[in-house]
Amino acid sequence: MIAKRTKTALPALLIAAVLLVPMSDLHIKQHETARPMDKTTSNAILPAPLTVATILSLDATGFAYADHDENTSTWQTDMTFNINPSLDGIAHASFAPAADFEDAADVWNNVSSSWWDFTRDDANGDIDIGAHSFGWLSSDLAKTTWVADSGVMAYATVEFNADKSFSDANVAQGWWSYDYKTAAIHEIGHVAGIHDHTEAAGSPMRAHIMVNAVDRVLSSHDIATIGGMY
Amino acid sequence: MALAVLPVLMLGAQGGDHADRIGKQFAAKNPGVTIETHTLEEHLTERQEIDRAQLIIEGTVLEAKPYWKIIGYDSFPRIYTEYAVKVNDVIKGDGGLSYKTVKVVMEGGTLDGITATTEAIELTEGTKTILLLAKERHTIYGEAYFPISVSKSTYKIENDQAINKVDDRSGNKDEVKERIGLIHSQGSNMRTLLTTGGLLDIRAPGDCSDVENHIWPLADEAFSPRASECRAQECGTLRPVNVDGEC
Repeated sequence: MIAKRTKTALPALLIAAVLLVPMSDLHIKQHETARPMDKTTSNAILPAPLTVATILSLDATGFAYADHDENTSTWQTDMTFNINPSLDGIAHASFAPAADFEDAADVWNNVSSSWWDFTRDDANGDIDIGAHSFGWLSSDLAKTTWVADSGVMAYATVEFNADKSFSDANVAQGWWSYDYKTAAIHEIGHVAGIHDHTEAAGSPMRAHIMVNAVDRVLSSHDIATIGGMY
Repeated sequence: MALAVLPVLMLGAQGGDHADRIGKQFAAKNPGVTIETHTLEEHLTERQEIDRAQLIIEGTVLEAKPYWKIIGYDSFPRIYTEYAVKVNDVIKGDGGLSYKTVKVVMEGGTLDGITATTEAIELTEGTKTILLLAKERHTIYGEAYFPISVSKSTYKIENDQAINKVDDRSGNKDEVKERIGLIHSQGSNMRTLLTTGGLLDIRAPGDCSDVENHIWPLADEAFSPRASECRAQECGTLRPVNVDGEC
């Protein structure tokens, strides 16, 4: 999946031009583009992620996109995800795993301070969304794993535990299950680079969720955190 | 440096030489990258965690052996660590394991210059710990014991006294540090743990008749893997049944 990034590599001339910039100047320029006013601007100025990663490995001192000290890895382009067929492994009559994951993405996309979009691209997604067995004695419901290079996200996966019961908790009754959208919103927060969990009541970014609990509304802390990162 | 995916497509989890080769290739092509995993867990009380654990031991980590693993549905290599843990005391479970060594597998570790972090506490050689474990055959761990809760079921014993339950999952670590102490033995089938929630007795699992009247699994005290195992036996399946005990 990571190799897909090379498809978006800028022309060699632009890469060469970036690399010719003195490192001191480069550092300043990177900071100038680190907090873009809008994503169109950012995508036009920032070199492809692979190039940025290379540069950062030469001079990563002090380079961080995030204001929040604990969340120092961020994406430098819009985040795209692909739905792995394995996600059907957690399907339930009350929800559609792929479509509901897109709905969960919109919860974050609708945060006004975010300049990126998290959208589905099954052919070229940077983030793989799937499911497999963790074991049903495990208490893990889902997890996000990311690969970062000097604070720059390169690749991520979201895995749901196929041994657990998920549902739309607003619909399902009587079953011991966990609200899928709450879990999806939680994982997308991590995909964006949020490192810590919150204790805020009702936040989807708490470390644990209760059976049949529906916590789909971002807390002010969640919004502030993501706003400080992008 | 080039971030490059490795051309692998597999259906099942794979370890061994194949995964090791893929992992080393990944590390060579992506020097300096970090791998970080964050987990969403079920909300379990300490009582529930203890009930769910098949084996609770106080032990000492003798050896930590990281290895590469391919989960299967994507091509991304992960780092897991296999710990050899000498059992000093069996708090719950098979008493025959006392003074023996068990294999415990957890995600994360450092290998080939790549560090993979999780929310579990760090176990290194010589660490004394209490582990709440389950043994289950599944695609990630294979046949091994693993913590039933990544962040909450490992306890590091400091200076042979205070046992710090390090929960790294919220912002302020100091607020969530909890002390848990092993009080005393009450015969072969009973131990008592002192936790912030009070005394918790740990009873060795009985037979299925013990759980016949339990309303599984929503009722807090009634929840236990033992109950679900019994339901599964009745249903002829390894998967849980619904709250009414129906298959």
